[in-house]
Amino acid sequence: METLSNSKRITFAIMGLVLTGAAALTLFDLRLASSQTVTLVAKRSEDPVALDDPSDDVWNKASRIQVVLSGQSTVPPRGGDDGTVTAGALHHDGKLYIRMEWSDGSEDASTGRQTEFSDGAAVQFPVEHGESVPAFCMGNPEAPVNIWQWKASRQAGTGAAVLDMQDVYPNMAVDTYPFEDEAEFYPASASGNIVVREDRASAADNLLAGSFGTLTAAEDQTVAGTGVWEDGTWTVVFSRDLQAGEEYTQFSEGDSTNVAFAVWDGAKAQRDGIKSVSQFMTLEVSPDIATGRAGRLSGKDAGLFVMVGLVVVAGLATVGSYLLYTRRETA
Amino acid sequence: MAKVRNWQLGREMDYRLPEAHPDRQFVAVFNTNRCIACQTCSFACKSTWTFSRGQEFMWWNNVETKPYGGYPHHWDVKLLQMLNDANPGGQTWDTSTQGDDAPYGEFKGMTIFEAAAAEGKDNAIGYVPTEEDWTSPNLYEDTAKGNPGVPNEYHPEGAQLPEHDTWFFYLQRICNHCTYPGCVSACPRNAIYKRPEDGIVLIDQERCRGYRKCVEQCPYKKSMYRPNQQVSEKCIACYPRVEGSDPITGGVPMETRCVATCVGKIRLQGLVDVADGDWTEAPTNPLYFLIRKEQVALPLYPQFGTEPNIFYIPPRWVPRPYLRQLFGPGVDAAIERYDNPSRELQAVLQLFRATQKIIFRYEIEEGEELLDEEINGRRVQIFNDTIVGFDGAGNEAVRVSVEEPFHVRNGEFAGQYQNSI
Amino acid sequence: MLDPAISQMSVNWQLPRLRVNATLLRQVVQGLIVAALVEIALLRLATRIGVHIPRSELASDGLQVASFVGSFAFNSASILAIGLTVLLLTLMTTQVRDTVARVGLAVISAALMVSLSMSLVTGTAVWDGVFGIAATLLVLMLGVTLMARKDVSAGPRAAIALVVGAYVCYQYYSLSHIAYRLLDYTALPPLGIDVLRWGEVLVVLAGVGVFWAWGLPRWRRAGRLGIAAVAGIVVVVGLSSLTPSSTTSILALWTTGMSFFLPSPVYLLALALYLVTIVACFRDEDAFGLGAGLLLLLVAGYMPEATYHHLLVILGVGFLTGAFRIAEEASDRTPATISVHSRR
Repeated sequence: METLSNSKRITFAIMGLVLTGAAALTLFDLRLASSQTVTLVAKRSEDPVALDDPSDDVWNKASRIQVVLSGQSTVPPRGGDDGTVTAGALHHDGKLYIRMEWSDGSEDASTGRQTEFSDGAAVQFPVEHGESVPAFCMGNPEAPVNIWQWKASRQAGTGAAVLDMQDVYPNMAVDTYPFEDEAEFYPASASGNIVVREDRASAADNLLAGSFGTLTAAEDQTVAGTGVWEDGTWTVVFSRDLQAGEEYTQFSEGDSTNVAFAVWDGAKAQRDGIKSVSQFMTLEVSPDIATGRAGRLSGKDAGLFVMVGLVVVAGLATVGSYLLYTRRETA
Repeated sequence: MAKVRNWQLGREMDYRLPEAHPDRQFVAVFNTNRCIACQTCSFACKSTWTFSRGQEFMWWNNVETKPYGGYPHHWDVKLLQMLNDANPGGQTWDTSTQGDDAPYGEFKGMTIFEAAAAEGKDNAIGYVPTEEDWTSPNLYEDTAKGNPGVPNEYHPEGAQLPEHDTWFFYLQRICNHCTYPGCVSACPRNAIYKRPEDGIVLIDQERCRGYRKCVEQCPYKKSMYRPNQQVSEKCIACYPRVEGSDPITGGVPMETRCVATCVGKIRLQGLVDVADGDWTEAPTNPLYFLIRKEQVALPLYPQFGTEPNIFYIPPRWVPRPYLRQLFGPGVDAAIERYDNPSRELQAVLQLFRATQKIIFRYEIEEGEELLDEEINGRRVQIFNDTIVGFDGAGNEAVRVSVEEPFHVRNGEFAGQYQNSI
Repeated sequence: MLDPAISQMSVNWQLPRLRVNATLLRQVVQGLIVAALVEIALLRLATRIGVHIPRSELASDGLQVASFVGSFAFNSASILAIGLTVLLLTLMTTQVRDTVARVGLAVISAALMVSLSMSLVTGTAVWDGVFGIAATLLVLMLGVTLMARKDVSAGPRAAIALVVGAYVCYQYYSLSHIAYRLLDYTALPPLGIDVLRWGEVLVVLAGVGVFWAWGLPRWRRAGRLGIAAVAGIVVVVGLSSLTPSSTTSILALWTTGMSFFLPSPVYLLALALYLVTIVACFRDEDAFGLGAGLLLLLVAGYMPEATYHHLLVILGVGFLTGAFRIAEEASDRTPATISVHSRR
């Protein structure tokens, strides 16, 4: 009886300590854990990154990660496919560059016809920096996200921002269009709708969303994006200044934030929520110089290799002897 | 999914958004019996709103010849097929429960929203019409129903009332400005809204991103994609006119272009007050009278479940099963009442196209009896009553009598020809 | 079954002046479970449902409160998980007599705890890598220990192999990316996505394996109520994948890290079997540890997002393999004997 009450006392003491500690951490807005998601590292590029050429050689020096995509299943309209996207990142001269690469059997770059939809890609960041734990997945649903969205149909060369019907139907004939130059008869562009803005500088839009269904064009269209389709693969590069207005995601060397990716396949009439999305990963903006080599070992690499090897060998040795020991015990 | 009350179905139904109602609702009655398919309405609309680049195929107002015509092609047949696939043989009505709350009885089948839920799809079933579907907007114009099993020949005794075997009729279509619009629930961007002041449904041209979910899920296919703007556009119910901002009427609400230009005098459009989720009883509002009191005008495809607000006086010569599919089970009673109009209905029918101003209230001044005869075994009485329509400001807008004024010119042809020049 | 074979691994140990007995351990584990469930409900679930709720003042306030309480639960769970992990590692290390194994285990344990601490204060990938390797080795070690036993029947063997296999698959994806990053390789790790998908298959199979191992022998104990509860959850999850409703977020909860590339009924079946097993274990006085282990693994998910989730995996596998066991839950409800494990 005495032992029991004793143990009760200990239980209370332990729980009290735990709860006090947790309360203290929570009050300071801390979470006692660190993110272990796969991290995309944006290193500093010594060479400028060509925005109009996603196959630029500088990307050979950038680190890359491969991310699983799956159909968006949280909110209607739902859809999308299983797939993968390969993401890379760099920064140069105060600008962040994110590159996405995924396979898509057809180039769908026009929305000129009734049933045509465009291929597209997007990256998404929480506006407020996550702490050590992904902020979107495990944090405040009030926190808005900053989305950079690229659509093939908006890209000059593959589909003019403001389309001419003659491009879609070369043999069309119309006697006359009255009031052709009056803006109010083009209400979307007249009201400043971002999808048809004539001053579009890039095929990428800077968007903000607080929750599903609230996607809104941001005041500042500061994101640039270019995509190239070749042999069944889209390669798209986004860029923006590391620092931007405070309502958008900020980046700075040494900081990490979360990043998620999405891809739309126009051939499957994918648009809006009908898309393939990834989990949130981590994006780290690193002060290191991007010197990436594909497979050539340097002295430093070798050292690291040896270290990792030693740890693994030691671990396996332990596992082995543990195994032997337990076998002997139970025999 | 929320539960909303749909009076046309006589029951509650599932809808993505919670039940909400405007203070007043844009409503119109189209009398299919009188339409001559002159398309003046279509051109009035097009020359007002959709004459620009990218709108070439767009007809916010169209008149199609039923049973074969449709713009886009076979829009209704395709959706009916989808509904039947979702609920084979189950799209029926229970008319035994007809009453004030359920004027047409209770719909036992599935709406486009319920069919989607049953099939595991989001929101509502539907499809995006192809370009071919949007071509030739008046295909099958004046094409009558054929004689089954006999190609290239019409039924030998095609035109015998009460139901013709060889028949067609004109169906006039604009956006229904539904109470539970398919487009509003479809829009993932929440870019489509129903105005609280008049129930007009509009696409926010600044927020739309051209996803065409509304094109897909509007059962009436009155949301249309404009490629060079990369957004969708739709009938705006001539809202500047309905608001009364057109200078011609000096600030009182005015009928839409398609209504005001109707040559056949088949259209009447107005606003009904809405309170507590239903139309406020207003027996002298001509729309309320025709739709809720006399029940001579019926919604188009009420079973789709969007509670459309354009109502049709059904064509009286068309086989009833076809009409019941289009307008619901109220068809027989509506045709009966239109065939043998009450004294008040005779007067109210005179208000169609009598003025551009929206009539909010009418008064009837009784006139002398013109006719009292037995026709087809029924006693028919006609009175030359005068009906006075009042506009939004409560002023008299129009005064018409049942018997059309008959003017005789003096001179050489006096008494010989009417209206000769 | 495991029970007789692992008595030497029971919680019969003592640290100076701290008396640890089974009741206490059980209570602490219960505390961890409660905190983890509250965290899931208020942080992950509320967040995912929260995004569907229109932005009203009330909803906003409610979500703020949920987020705060959820964070509190998260921190509580994390502290308890760390504490229990230290306990487990200490147990394992003190009980191993083979010197190499003992030193190795001590090194790995130390590496896990040091890297955990370091990853909290620095953002250096090296520590994430060390943490990941250490966690993987520990989970492997727990699995291998079980495999080595001759007295363990096929069910638990299969279940543990699948659970450990799935974790190792995910860790391959995660750690290979870290290794390439540290080595500054721009290529992609070979087979990363394939291995990740294999792991997902293993997770689904683990649902079946777990049921075979521990659910089948005692599924009647789940009782009508338990079965009904599980059926309810599965029906809700199943329906939510059919209907356009925000309950889908529950699915998202369970599928943390799942890409859902297999047909959805497969996942539903796996979930149902897994849940029945959990309920049956919790209703069996002798199998509290098993139930706790399974639940912690479910909370951790296939892709553990944070260090806390990795610790839950270690603890979960620890419970399932019997390495961590509430000693006398079988019959004796008195406190465990307080003696250092005698060396034979």
